[in-house]
Amino acid sequence: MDFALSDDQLAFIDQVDRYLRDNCPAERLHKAFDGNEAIAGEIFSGLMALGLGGLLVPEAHDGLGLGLLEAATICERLGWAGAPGPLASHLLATLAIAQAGSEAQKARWLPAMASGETVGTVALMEGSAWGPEGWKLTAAPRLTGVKDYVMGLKEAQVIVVSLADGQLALVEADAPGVSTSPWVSTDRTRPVGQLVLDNVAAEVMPGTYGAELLDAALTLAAADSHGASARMVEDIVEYSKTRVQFDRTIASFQAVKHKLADLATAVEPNGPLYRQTAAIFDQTPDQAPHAAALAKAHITETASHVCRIATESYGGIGYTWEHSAHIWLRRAMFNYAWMGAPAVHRARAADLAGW
Amino acid sequence: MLAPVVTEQEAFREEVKAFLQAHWLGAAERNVAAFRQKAVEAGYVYRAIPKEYGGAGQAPDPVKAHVIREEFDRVRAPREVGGNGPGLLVPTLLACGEEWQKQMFVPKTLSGEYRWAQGYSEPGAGSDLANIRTTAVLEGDEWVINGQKVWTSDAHNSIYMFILVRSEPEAPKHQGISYLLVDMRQPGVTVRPLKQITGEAHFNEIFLDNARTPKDWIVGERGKGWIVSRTTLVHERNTVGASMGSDHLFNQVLKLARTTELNGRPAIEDPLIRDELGRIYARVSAHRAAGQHAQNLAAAGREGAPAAGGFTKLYGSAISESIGLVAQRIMADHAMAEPVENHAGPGRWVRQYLNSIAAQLGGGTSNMQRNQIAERALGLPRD
Repeated sequence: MDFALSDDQLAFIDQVDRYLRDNCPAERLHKAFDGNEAIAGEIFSGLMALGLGGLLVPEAHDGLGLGLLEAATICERLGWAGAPGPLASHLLATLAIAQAGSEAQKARWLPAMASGETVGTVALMEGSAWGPEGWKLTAAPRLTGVKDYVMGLKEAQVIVVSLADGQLALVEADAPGVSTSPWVSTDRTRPVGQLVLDNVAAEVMPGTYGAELLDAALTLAAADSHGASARMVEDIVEYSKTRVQFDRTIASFQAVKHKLADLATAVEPNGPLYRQTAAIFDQTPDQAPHAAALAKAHITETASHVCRIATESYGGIGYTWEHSAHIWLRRAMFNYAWMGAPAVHRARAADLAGW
Repeated sequence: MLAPVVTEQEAFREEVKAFLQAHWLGAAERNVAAFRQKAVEAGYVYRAIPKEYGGAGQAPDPVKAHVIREEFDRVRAPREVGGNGPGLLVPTLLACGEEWQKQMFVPKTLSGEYRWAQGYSEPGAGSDLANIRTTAVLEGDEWVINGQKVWTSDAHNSIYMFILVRSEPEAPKHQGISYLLVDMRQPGVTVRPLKQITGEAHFNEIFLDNARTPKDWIVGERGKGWIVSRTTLVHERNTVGASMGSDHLFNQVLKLARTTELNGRPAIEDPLIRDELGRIYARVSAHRAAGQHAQNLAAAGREGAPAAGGFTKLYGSAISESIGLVAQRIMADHAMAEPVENHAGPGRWVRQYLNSIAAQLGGGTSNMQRNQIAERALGLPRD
């Protein structure tokens, strides 16, 4: 499986990375974290201006026509930057419509989503049910039910709602019978909410793509977590070089050096692992359910642990609200639990491998 | 960019397959050395080593190297000779040796005729290798060597040894060391097997009592042996932690879990065992992906992570330990068995667990790897 990035891909990622570095300084992240909703919107607009809305949209519908490998690599950089906003869920919505929508549905939604004029999201979880076997909603012919932990619900104008048997329906956020309520999650940079549908008009998309959409969501969560954990390691390494105790930098203590080496070692292979998973999704889709389950389980779990240890390694300052460590720790904790906890996906991966 | 690489790779794979079909008879092959020579001439084995020293003299191409490894392993065809010689001494000689030394030693080492022991560690010089006390004094045209070496792998099968000695007693620690080549077939060299915790003896102690070697059997200059030896160690780290071993071992433990009954059903069905196997398999997969990534980088001519060898050794050797632990959980009371080499029963896994300790020590201990990662990859201060 070849998941090397070309020079063009690297240049594109680098451009996104520079935008995120410039626009996600600590004080801005803290403002977003403390409830300034404008910042997430500004960053989303900036990312749209770079063309990211169309990443997974076919060229025929004004998109870039790229794959999950590129999308996951971008999500890694979002996690690294701690970027607020609904880009990941928007990307998943474009993927769902591009793959499962009718020609009319694609023509209606995709060009506007590629430009960012229309924001989309995906509503997948029903309580703790994260996958097609647990989804109960049906559109027969109108949609009634509840979806939980929906990202970007406040911004979205179009919502891809997963149904029983892995079908997907399109719901317009301003349709009669749609109501939403925020749910205060640990990751305040990417707010989630509950979507309540009461006899809502919904268009079922012709393709059955729920299972694939799940695999894509798991892969992007893994990529995001990898970015968050890599950032935490970079930051605690830099801090340890400047923090002086007992008249020496704490980086000079072997107890600290070895701990940081262990964190770096745990994180190091996870970048290749999520990129390989995304490449499998793009190139050999029959293997994607196993690969995505394994990557989600392993990377979100490792990242959560790494962020926890890194936060502790700061000493008291890392335990304060004003320090940034908890922004990434909470992001990693959110990714750990979102769309099914690691143990669940590990068990699934074992089943899928035929163990 | 991706498409042409894949096509080229597949064309090369067909070429390798055709070679193997024409020349490798499988288990029936009696003349392994002759086959290996053909493989060298075809450019598949000892690729990086120049032709004049018995290598294939090919330009570095990690993608081709990977294809060759896969195809040769698929039909169990022999590739490079194992042991310390081709893996450790040859790269060092090619980098630092005199022309006559390369001519004299490299071709016969590659063919397997010359086997080499590595005389590095001493009772007082383990992780602190530069602390060696074995002395070499020049008397006329010969070095006279006295001291003791330990953990010299393969010494009982070797006729030569490459050895670190203190030749400049007045110089600072790292600048007083020389790298010598020694013929072990002489009265001053005594080899005593060193029994490991598994009960086997793959290593040796070596006692040097006025052992002698010619004045010019030195690699690099006097007092530069430490730098010369680094070429060898870097090489060792890259080979010790490769993920193929983890993959193979994991498949074996999976088979154990399928065929062993635990609480009245196959152990693989026990949710705790299943979860632990899943955790280990994820690490094996990540390790494999990291190896693929390193290969992708090399193919594109890009630099890998600093201290990549340290990461891979630390990661891989921890997997080996975890596999040994889960095997004991699977075997329950049978895990009390005596360790046995080359055996299909429980003793094989007890041995594997004990041997995983060696994986965390050989080629630089795990704590030394942590130092290397901290200092070289993370830029933390040196101890």
